[in-house]
Amino acid sequence: MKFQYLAVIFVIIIMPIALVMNFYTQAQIDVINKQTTYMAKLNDATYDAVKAFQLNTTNSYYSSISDSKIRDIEASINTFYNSLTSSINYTKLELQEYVPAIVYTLYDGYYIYGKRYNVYDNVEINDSTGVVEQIEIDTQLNDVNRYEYGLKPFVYYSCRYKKGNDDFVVNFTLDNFISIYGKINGNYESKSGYLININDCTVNSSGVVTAYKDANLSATENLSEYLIFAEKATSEGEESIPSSTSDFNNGEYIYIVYNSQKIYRGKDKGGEERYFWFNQGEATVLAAPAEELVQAFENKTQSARQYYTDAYNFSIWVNNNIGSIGQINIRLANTAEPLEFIATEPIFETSNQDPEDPSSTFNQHRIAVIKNAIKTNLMAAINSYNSNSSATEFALPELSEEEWDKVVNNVCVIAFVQGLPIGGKYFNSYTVIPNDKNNEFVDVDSVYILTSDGQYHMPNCPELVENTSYQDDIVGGYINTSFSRQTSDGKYYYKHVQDRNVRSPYTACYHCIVNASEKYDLNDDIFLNESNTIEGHNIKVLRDKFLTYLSREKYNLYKTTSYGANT
Amino acid sequence: MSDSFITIIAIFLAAILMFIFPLMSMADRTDDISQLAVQTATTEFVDKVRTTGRLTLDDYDQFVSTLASTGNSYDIEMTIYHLDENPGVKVTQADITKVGENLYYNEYTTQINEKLDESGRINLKEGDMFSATVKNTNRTIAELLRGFFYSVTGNDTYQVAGQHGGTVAVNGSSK
Repeated sequence: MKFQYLAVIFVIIIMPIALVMNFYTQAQIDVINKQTTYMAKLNDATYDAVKAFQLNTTNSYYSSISDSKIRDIEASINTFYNSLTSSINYTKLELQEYVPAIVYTLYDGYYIYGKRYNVYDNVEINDSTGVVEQIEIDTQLNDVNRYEYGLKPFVYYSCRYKKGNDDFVVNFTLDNFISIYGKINGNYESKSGYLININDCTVNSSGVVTAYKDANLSATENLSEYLIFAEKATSEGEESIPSSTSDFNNGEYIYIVYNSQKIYRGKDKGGEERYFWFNQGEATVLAAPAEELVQAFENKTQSARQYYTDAYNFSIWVNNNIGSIGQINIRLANTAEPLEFIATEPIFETSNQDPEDPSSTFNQHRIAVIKNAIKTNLMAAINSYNSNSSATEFALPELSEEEWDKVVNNVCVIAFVQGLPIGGKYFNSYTVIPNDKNNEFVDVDSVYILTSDGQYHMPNCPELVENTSYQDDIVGGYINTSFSRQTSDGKYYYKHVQDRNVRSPYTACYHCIVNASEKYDLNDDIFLNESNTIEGHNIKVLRDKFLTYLSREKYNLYKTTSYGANT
Repeated sequence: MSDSFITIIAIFLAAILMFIFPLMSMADRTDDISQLAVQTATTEFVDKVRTTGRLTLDDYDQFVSTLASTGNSYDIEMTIYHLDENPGVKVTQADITKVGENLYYNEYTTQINEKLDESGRINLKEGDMFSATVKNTNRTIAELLRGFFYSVTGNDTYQVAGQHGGTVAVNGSSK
């Protein structure tokens, strides 16, 4: 055979192989590219959902009330689907089949959004006269039409303990707040409060905590916010303004939190002193303010000391009554059967450990409980998720330690997508996006400190830490959500203004907020640093004020699941 | 025309068809795979920064070594856009009378590298943006072979590149 023929035969053999290889590699590349873009889009959509949740909750003081929260979460889920459907070519209905669960982990529990079976199953509804209505047994339990998408019931981060006469349940939260209910020493008790180290408290003769971890707490504070009032629409026929409302000038008003309500005091346009609620540009004047309310304004805000005093009393009670409970006492929630734990290290002891320290026994246990609570339910929710459009076996992926770290310390959204076809493969992924701005709870890093030069700072701002005289310029501190831009009647305004007349808002510090700094650790160097010095810098003034603001904001936050700490 | 001349042509053609063409094809595939690895690594790196709010030296080093494993050398460009929400910040390109105009000020690769070497990490906040662009700086085999036949002129004659960026979703402070 001639040499040329050999070449031709070679080419005939090689060409198709090369082409097929080319095609195959290209297909693989497309799949992986699609996978990375979908991942990025899932991240973006979840972030959009978090953002929607933030927008709806941060401007509402009562956003932690469950009705309001369910509404906010459903809105946030719509945002998630809107965002995802606009970036990949699926409709919401199609996409839902591939999203076995979206989890909203909140302060004291979590919601799972997914498919649920929404029908009474073999139920008889009785009244005193006998059977009124009987709903027939549903033979087609797996009928897909009976499933609908929605939020499943709220699940608390809870754990049951049993020891001798004690048989009780503790609800944990993202911080050191716990609720206890059940039999303790044979009596039924229900209590809730913050756990702190009782040996770190300085208590005065009247039983009030005046200092915690060598940071002096201010006895009283004046809190104020700048308010803008909406223009009242007065139509021709309208004769008079209803008696409960009154006209106010835009300006700074003093407020206190009284019985879980934010009440402002100030003079109206007629010069009369009024007490009022404020909601979206409108003031609702209290016609006859209670004597106690007037007195409460006279006493100013004492929440900082109140917070530690309540926490102190609660922690003593916890230490005395359930201080000896260890892991060995953990029981299954429904059957009270013991689990395979043998550790006896006391979890709730508050005399030797600092529950706010991330490495304390209490904290480690709290993290384990939260993880377990989420895992068990989520696993069940995802495994049982049946989808008629995809042949995927749904299963809970293993979340990494880093991701769990976000979940147990923050309000988070976890979104799962499984079985979405992307060419030769299926897209299986999830994402965890924490929500930093919320009214769910006050974290250590969610208090901003105001200085008289018109800036607000993080407590670990290097400028503040390294400059003792600058610390003397601190004029106040509020929760970070109150620094976001407010809208009223189409006008923008900020709640914290430096100059009442010019109303120039406080601006973010360029050393700690705009350009986040990590020079000093917020927990170890500031919050828990009893020595009041760091690298030779005296931070006594800063710590005094920071702890005052932090505890006041914690105390003032509206809480739905509180039994009170009465001892 | 002599028969030997055709034979010489045929030998050339055969050489091209039997060696250069398969070699180019394979080299192209290698570049495709590198391209894929680079794009995936870049997306993962940027997404990690975006979801943790933290740019650490560890992550960066890992990113660099993933890139190096493709056998090429790369030029990595990173940009951080710091969100400046301060109301009424006076700049030329924004309306100063509008309260709360969102502005960004940027940090680029050299500044970022300097900071990373100094403290090992850079914290970002929610609303900041981060992006990374990767381009190869060496000539890959595919490029060399192609240069044998024809040459592409210009500055951006890179073969393997990856680009990703987006908004940071979370504050990076340690908790």
